[in-house]
Amino acid sequence: MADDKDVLRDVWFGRIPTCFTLYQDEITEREAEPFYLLLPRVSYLTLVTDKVKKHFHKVMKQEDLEEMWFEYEGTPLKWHYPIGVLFDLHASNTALPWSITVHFKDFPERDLLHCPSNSVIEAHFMSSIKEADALKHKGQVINEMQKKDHKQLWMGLQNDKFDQFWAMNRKLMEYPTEEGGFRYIPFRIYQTMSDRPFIQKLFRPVSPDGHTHTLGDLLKEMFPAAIPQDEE
Amino acid sequence: MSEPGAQAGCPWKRHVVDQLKQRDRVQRQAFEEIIHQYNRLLEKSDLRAVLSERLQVDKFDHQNRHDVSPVADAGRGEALLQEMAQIRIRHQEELTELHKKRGELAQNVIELNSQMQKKDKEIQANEAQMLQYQHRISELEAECRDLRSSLQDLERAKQTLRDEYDALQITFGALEEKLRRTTEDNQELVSRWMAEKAQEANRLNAENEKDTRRKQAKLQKDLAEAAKEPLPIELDDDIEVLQEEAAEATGDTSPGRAISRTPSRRVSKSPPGGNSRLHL
Repeated sequence: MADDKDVLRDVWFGRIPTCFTLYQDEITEREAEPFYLLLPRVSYLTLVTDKVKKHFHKVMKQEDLEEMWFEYEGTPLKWHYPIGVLFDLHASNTALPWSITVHFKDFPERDLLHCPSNSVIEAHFMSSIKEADALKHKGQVINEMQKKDHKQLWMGLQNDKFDQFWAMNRKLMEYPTEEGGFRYIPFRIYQTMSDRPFIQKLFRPVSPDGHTHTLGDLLKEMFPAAIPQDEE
Repeated sequence: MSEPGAQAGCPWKRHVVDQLKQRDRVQRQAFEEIIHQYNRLLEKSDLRAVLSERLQVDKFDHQNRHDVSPVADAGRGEALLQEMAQIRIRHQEELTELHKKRGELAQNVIELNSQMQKKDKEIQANEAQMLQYQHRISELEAECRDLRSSLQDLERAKQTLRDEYDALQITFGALEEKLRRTTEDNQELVSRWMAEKAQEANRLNAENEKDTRRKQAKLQKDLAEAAKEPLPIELDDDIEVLQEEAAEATGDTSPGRAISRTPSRRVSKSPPGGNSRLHL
């Protein structure tokens, strides 16, 4: 149990050192210094980059400011993916800190969703939670929660409050012991080199003959290409 | 985001934890301090930039207004420094003020805590007392129940006694009535018996009298017969006395006293005996 708690904490407090630099073609009044930040892996880019926005606003003219977006080596970064996913997906093999380019113009409408306010992130986050619970408990747990419980989940994430978040999330992670697991494991396998952004299929935690599935079993079934790489 | 694992102490769990720690070391701890320091530097340099900008603007204004006063410029810079020092002093004061306030609030917290403890104790005491009273109440209630039940018993006993008494009273009444009737019967019987006796006495008396009269009549006849033949017998004194008495008792029916001497002797003996028996 102590191990579990350690894992939860370490996952929650995982950080990626990031260097934000302004795109070279942006017009500034004076030289824009790069901005460094430790990004929480489990959060969303647009939720934790207020400081970045402020920092670059200072050196730019008001009329040149449009919605901020991020790019890494030519790839626009989707804010609705968790930060950890973005990093592992695009930059896991590069040297740290992760270097992200900040744009205030030419929003790539085809690649990114607009994010006008935090309520948009909240809506997206809650829908992910609901989707996961639909797979885990047919959505019963999340539907039995009250509005304020939903709010607590979101505020926990927004303010990086581990205990606040997990006080609620614990309920979402419970399952009856006799069933040995959730109905289905909510998972997504994100991939860069594909016409499909991710793989998502139904996968039970326990096989029909009663043994517990491992991550390896899941990958073997869903994405066999990952296995040899893993063994290297 | 994480897998709530099966049993603690699985080697793979240890592995996951180690991997996470390793990741933290590489990605987080290596950069944490340096990024923090960089941001501080950035803030400082920003502040400096703002200040120097203001300085530039002031200087520019100054030059515009007084084209020839290079000495004032230095004074201007000094004034700025002074202003900053003042701001710093002000902030220092504010900080001290806040510290003081914090101290006061901490004191408040302590006081309130102690008050709360006191209240808690009071509450506990009250609760204990309440419990005691509750106890007492239940005791008294039990006692009350007992008394009520004994009262009921007594009332039942009383009722039984009353019933018995009533029954006895009725029996007594009946017996009394019977006694009265019996007494009456007795009296009646006695009176009837007395009447009967009286009648019998009368009858006997009458018979005796009749008997007596018949005997007298016979005696008279005998006497008369005897008187017919002359008898030379001298009468002594005794007989004469007796003869007089007998004549008086029988009512003096005989016409010749001197004649009934002998029979009067028998008569005078028998009637007194018969009379004495009848008067009982």
